[in-house]
Amino acid sequence: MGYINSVLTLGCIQAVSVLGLALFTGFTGQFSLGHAAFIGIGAYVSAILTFYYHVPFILALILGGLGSVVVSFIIGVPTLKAKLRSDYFVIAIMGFGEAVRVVLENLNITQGARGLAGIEKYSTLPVVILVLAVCCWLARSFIVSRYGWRAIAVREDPIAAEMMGINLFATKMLSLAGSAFFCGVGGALLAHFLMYIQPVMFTQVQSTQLVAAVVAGGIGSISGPVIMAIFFIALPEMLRIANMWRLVIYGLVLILIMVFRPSGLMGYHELTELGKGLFRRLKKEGS
Amino acid sequence: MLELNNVTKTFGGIKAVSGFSMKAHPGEILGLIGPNGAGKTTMFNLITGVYKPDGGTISFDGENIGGMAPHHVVEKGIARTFQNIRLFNKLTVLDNVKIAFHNKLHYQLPSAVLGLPLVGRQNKEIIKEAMTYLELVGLQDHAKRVAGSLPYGLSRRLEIARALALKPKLILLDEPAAGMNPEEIVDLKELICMVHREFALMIVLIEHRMDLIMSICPRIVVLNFGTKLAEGTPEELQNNEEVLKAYLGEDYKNA
Repeated sequence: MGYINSVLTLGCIQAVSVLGLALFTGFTGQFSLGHAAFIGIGAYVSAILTFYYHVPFILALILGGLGSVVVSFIIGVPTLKAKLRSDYFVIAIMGFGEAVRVVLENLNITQGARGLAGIEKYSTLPVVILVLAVCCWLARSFIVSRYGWRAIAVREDPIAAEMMGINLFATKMLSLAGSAFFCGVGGALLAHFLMYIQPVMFTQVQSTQLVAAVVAGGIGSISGPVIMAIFFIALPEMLRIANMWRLVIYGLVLILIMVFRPSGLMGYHELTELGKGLFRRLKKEGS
Repeated sequence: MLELNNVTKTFGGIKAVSGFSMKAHPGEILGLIGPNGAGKTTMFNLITGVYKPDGGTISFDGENIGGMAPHHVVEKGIARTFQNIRLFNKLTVLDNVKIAFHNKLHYQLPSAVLGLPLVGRQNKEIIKEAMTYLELVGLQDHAKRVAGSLPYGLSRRLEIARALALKPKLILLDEPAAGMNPEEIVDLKELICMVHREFALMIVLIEHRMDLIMSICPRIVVLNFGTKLAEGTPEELQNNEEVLKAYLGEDYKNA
């Protein structure tokens, strides 16, 4: 029970971060291979706050997210303002992610590459599910508001969006900051679940996993990436019986999703719509 | 009033537009014609801020808008459509128009993120207003359809509806009749005239279909190699030697 509980908790934590990237990639159409940096910032900011300063967990969680937002402006303002083409932006943020990791490795307060141990455990399964639910609500509300409309317009056609009076830089920056917030909160949850963090946890591999969950889960969807995030955390665990083949199967699953559902599990749709559709069908059959 | 004064734009060594001046008055439908590559679309891109002019001034209602960012130009009351239609293809027809109202809503980011009820209320009102624009161009029955699945003629209409929803004072139409059959062109002509009447709009129209442009534009500017070749009423231009040469070649009399 404890084992399944842990896997689920980790899955939900990952889902919070993936939600962030879904906002940036799935709804604003910008790719990133550096979002692990925001998870790292959130993890360290919150852990330092609870570890050294005994700040209440909920406050540390929010401040972890806000810490990532601040950092997102450091990379976002120069690159997005310069209208960097999307592929160059990916390279820039990738380098930025590595730079953040190196900084974390060389600060005193983070205890460098040794990592920060002895963090209090606050991220239990109910807490994590609650935070995930709140984050889903926030993301959903953002998407259906005018701010979300702008982001979606930029994803669909930046030139047409501009001629609708949409400020491309402001829109992309807002999405990046929002995604950094969710990643930061995810990182804060992670730190208070593992009780130990070190900079090497927040590398490119982590960034790539976020992208995999968003793309496999579906562009333009919130529920798809969340489901995929949990699934991708659980899958290697479920496959432990297959031992050395499990990473091969992991890759295979990813390929199969892209072949049979090119726009991802829930591309441009939500789980709630499925529920509504089913309800409608049942009603029709009933009458 | 839209006023271009001595506008110049070069790409590398090529002068796409050089020393071009023109005026468009409120409530006017001005035609902009010229052979391919004459610089017509470049002119639209200069007016809307996609390109910065290298020289000269562009003013709209007395304000210099040359080199202003596109989203600021839109705020000044200028909207446009594109030569190759640019819709938000994956969104519904209604959502395409809805986006035009993003600056007209009053709620701020905190209430949006928290999903407060006032956000939903305001969004609903906007949807009602967006529907009126769809009705205007006759797309009300397609509101829930995905924009990318619309046939060509209807896509054009949607693009016009979306531009109108910005409530502009000036609308720039870039070859709206391109790729349309004669029947669709008649419909389009009616639509443009109706829009012009209803909204008392200033319209600048780029078009290759002479029948269309000659019948709805009282005044036409002819562009060739980035400079103004001629300007006048359709009748004047039909007898203008320079214009005939540009379109038909030096030997047009023998052709």
